[in-house]
Amino acid sequence: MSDLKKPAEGYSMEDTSQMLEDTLSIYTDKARAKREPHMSANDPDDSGCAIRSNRKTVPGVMSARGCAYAGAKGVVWGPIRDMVHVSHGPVGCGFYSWGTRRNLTSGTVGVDNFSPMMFTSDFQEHDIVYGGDRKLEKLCDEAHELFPLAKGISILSECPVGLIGDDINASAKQASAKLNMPVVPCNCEGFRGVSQSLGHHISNDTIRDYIIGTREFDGPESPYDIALIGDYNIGGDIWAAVKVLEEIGLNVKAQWTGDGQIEHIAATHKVKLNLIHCYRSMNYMCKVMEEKYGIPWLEFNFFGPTKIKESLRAIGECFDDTIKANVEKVIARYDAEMQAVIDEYRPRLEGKKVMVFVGGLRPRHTIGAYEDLGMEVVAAGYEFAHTDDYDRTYPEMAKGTLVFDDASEIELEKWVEHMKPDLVASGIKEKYVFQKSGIPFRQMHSWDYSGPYHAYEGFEIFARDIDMAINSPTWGLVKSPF
Amino acid sequence: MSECAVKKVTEITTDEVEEISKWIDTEEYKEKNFARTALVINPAHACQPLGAQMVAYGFEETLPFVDLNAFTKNAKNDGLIPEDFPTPYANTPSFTGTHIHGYDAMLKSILAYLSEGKKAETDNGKINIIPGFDGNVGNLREYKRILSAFGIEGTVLADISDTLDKEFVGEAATLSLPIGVKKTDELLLKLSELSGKPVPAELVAERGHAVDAMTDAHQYLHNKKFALFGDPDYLLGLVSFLLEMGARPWHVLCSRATKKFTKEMQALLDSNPYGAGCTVYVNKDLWHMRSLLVTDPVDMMIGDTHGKFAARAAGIPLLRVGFPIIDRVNLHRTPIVGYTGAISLLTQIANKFLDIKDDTCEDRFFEMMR
Repeated sequence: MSDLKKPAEGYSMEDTSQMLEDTLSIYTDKARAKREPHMSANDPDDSGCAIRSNRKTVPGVMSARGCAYAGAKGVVWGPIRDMVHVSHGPVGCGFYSWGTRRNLTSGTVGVDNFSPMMFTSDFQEHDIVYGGDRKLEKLCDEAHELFPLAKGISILSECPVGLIGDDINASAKQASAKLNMPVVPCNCEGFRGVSQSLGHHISNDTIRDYIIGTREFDGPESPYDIALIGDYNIGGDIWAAVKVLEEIGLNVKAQWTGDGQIEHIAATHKVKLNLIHCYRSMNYMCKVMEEKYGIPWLEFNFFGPTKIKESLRAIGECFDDTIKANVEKVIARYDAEMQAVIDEYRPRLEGKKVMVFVGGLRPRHTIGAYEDLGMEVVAAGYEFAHTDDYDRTYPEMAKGTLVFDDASEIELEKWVEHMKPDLVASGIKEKYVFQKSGIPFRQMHSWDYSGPYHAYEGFEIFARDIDMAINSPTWGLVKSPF
Repeated sequence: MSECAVKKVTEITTDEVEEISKWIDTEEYKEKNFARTALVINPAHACQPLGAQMVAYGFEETLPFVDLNAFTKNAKNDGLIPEDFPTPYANTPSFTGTHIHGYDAMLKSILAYLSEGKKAETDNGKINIIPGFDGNVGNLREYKRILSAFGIEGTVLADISDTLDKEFVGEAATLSLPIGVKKTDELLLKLSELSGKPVPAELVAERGHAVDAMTDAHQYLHNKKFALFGDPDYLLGLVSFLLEMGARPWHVLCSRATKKFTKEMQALLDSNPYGAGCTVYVNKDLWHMRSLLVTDPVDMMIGDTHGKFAARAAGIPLLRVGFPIIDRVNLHRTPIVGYTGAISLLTQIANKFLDIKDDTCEDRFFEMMR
């Protein structure tokens, strides 16, 4: 990483540490001992600084985390548009996750696009008592009959399926042979692991075991064939990213998994480079493809013009001079446009402070986009990160700012009270807590029903949204004159 | 596996898409769709814990946990929570019933817990209203306004729009959701009977306004066909209102309901000539509803946000009523119960039809007046 960031004005190691001390004092000794290692004042030049992560949430606190099923259905499998994704178990898990993650897809709903729909075995007491295997086999038949263009079925287990010991793997194998298409059993019961993160890993493993290598692209190979990994097309993100990658002359042969197609994913072992946006949820498969097929992979960041520029040049370095030249042309073409965006919004946002608490890659990846607008991220936390995510985060944050893991609602409230950010960027569970206390907020898992935020196209929308969140005249009405 | 054994990536062709797009709108497809026994597609119901949470949120300073009796007992034994700290508990398994059952189980548990060992020999003269699973805070405020107009001391239980006092149960009456004039009349008559007070002039005047609005606007709803889906209470109220307007409920779909509901709904439809031709579907989902809409079209659908895909496929508007509404602002603040609720429903439905007319008619039919 390049040179360290300047310490943020008004924030210091001592002050942030004292704030954390005050926060922890609300807990019992046991809870305190568990939570203390998950939060720290950031000290980027201390290599020993390490946030504890990927541990079980303290029981009883209000956590923002999801479960393994959420990671499998909502993140990895759900966005693949040409498959029927079955939430296997009682109705709730599928119902509450239906259409709420905003991974947009192309195609005709119910014909060749099934992501916007909700499929479930809707377990009843009978299924719990006698098992749901037969029902599962039957529903695969029904799905195949009613949706003849579907290219496969994923079976995503909910908690009760694991608890009663159903063998979905056997049912899936049978259905796959009978229907002559992939029927993928994903044992992603919510009780597995400590967060949605294990659901990502389990799903990656099922792609490895059932999908990758089972197809090859039709037509000639090209040295510019790549796959885009870990972009889930929230609000159209992947479309904005693919546009730029194509403009520099690359062929995006497979999308993992935003607006994804299963056969393209199956042939990804034939690409020349894997570009990965969300490292947390899909590094596993990048590593598998590297080991097994020798495909290199590269992390990149398409938030904000500074990071886009850096990333495009790094991508260019993986290819020949043609691509490198294209990269410079594309950067030059968008530079003026991006400067116009910055000129419009930066004067209203300069110096504003942000607290970010989201998942995957965003706590570190969005920092550059805020900085392009003259803002500063003074606190960044992840819901379900691992050590390697934090290692990538410390250098992006100034000394004395706050880095944290799996925060509870009460901790967030204490920190917001003390740090007084101008914007909180977090999830739906946090949104109304802060918005109703008069603090500007953006729901940054789903881009608050806006987007895309990725790539050049996305930055303009991001800038507009951040400006309106902070500068909406409605905030002026909060204080009553009487 | 040899190289040549690996299959090539295939693309779905536009011809295939076109063919299947047509096919899923046919009677033949509808029959296959209705023959499903295992797969549920786009269900219009959630599971019990959602209902239990809705109740818990209605009690101020209450934290909803999916919890276990033994767990709370141990926590009390270990002194982690005080002995007298209320921890009502309800079994709300996700694999039986729906969010409605979860609501009822949790509310019953809280009331039983709070009144345990306290005998209600005489009632305290107050009236409790149990609104049932309802995400519309406007409705809850409307109940309170009606009680206050009567001068009745009362409590809306599990009031997510406000707070709660403890009360004990005396006489009980079960009424449908007061949607439309007749069902609101029934509520007010019952309140009058229980309290011994006359229906206040304020509400009599409101009834007049509602009926006035309904007669004035009848022409925009008369004989229009409606598809409805949602929770049993909502459906009974909405169908009653549509029948009052001379509109035609046509497909009524409740994804989880008892025989009692079917009977009650059928009786309501049979009681009014505009109920003729309507079919009631229970244990069906919104993919069934899609088949109904494309094979036997109606003018409008009423239900929560989840109906938007079926409505779009059929090219009809969706009037958002029920829970959840996650794609329009503020509808949860507008009551649909009571006389004011009837005016609001009528306004939304009639103006929706008029908007469509203005948006889609040919220029020569684009008129100043509607």
